[in-house]
Amino acid sequence: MPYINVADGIPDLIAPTVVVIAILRGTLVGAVTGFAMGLLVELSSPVGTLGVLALLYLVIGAWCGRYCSRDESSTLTAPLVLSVAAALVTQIGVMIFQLMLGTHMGASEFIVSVLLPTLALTALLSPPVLLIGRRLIGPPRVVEPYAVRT
Amino acid sequence: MASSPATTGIARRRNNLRRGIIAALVILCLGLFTVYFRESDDGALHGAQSTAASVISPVQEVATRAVEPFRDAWGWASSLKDARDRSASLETEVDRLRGEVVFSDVQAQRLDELEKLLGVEKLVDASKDLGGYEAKTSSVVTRSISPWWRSARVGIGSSDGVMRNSPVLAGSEQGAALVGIVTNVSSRSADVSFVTDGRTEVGGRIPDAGPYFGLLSSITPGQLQLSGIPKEAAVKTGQAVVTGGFGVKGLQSPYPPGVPVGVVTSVGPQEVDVDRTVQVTPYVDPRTLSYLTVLVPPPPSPCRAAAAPAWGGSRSSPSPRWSCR
Repeated sequence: MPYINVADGIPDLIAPTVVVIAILRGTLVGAVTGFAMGLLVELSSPVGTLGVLALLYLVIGAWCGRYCSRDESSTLTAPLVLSVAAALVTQIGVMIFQLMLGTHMGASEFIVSVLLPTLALTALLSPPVLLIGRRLIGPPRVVEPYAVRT
Repeated sequence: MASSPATTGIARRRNNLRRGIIAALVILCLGLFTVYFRESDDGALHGAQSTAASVISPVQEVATRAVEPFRDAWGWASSLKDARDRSASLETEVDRLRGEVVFSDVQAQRLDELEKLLGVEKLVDASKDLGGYEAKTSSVVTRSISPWWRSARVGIGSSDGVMRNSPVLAGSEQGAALVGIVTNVSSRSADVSFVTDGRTEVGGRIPDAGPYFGLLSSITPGQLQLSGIPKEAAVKTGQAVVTGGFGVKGLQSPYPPGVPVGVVTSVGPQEVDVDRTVQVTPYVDPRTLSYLTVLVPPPPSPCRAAAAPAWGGSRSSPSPRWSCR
């Protein structure tokens, strides 16, 4: 997706992917998926970090998993809002991390050039990802660490 | 219906196990990025990342080529409206440049003679002479997914002679211009940090402003700042900024001197400051490029490869590197 950009905003399609998996399979699967996808991105993309995106998407996956099997998980609005919120959390998390590393960006430039275009593009391109994910994964079902033994 | 003690116990164990797994993953992430930033560029995690890049880059290259026609079609359609205007201006420019070529040839001949006479290092001319550097062009196989990291990966690596801190050029309306440096190399791919990336610093100078050297670094997205230029320098907007191309402490720079980087767009007030604040707009917007040219330096002599601190290059590379000025 780095080839689709408006100003400095790039759509975050990892966020809706993690959200749809978490919201349909629960906290544990969401967290593990977020960790794996974040790590994969850091290994396959020239971002110069390891573990940062994995941590951010892990938190997103774990949080969104709490909505599994609730009424909200059967509509498209909730995952869409969560996807945009996840993209927002990711951008702010990366911004904090970059500030800690000494990379500066003005607040207004960050909001106007990066944050708003990223959120808008994510909102625009998330519905297909969410629909495909829902079709592939099936109805909401919490996956537990191990089955009940009787 | 009340839960039985057995069910409650299993639920509690499940809950604990779930929390334990998530906590373990969080600790793993914290450990990963702590070790990653503390280790040198030759460390285990950097090595694992390079290995993954080597494995993934051929797949990324195939995927990039598969979608390239669609990207090209979109680029063609979006640039169609400007094509007629550009054609007219280019025709005028060609007429002007034809006249300048004759004069330039005479100047080049004189410059060549003077360089030989004084033993000065040659300037880079991508179309004629690369001053000992070999140009390797490759397609961009992937880019950073976040604007915080202005970087890309090209499909050539150490097996092609590419090494860390190799300069990377791209075509612009002003000719070949510097767009970044190689910050990480694997056998079949190389990561390029653009000059607009916050981690990249390049030594530069403004030829029309006098014999002063400064350090180019990114301050805001897409903009550079040239620091260290003294007040007495005659800096004006519109002047070209080129690479400095000089080393420190007896080390030769991996950058050839005189490679265009950008143009001065703003000169800040400096009533009380020692240095001028010079804002530079790069000639090339690297986000739009599909191909990049890496200048592979000649093999280093033993004294050049010696470890020493340098002023430029990637801030994130704590390992010894060449001077980047």
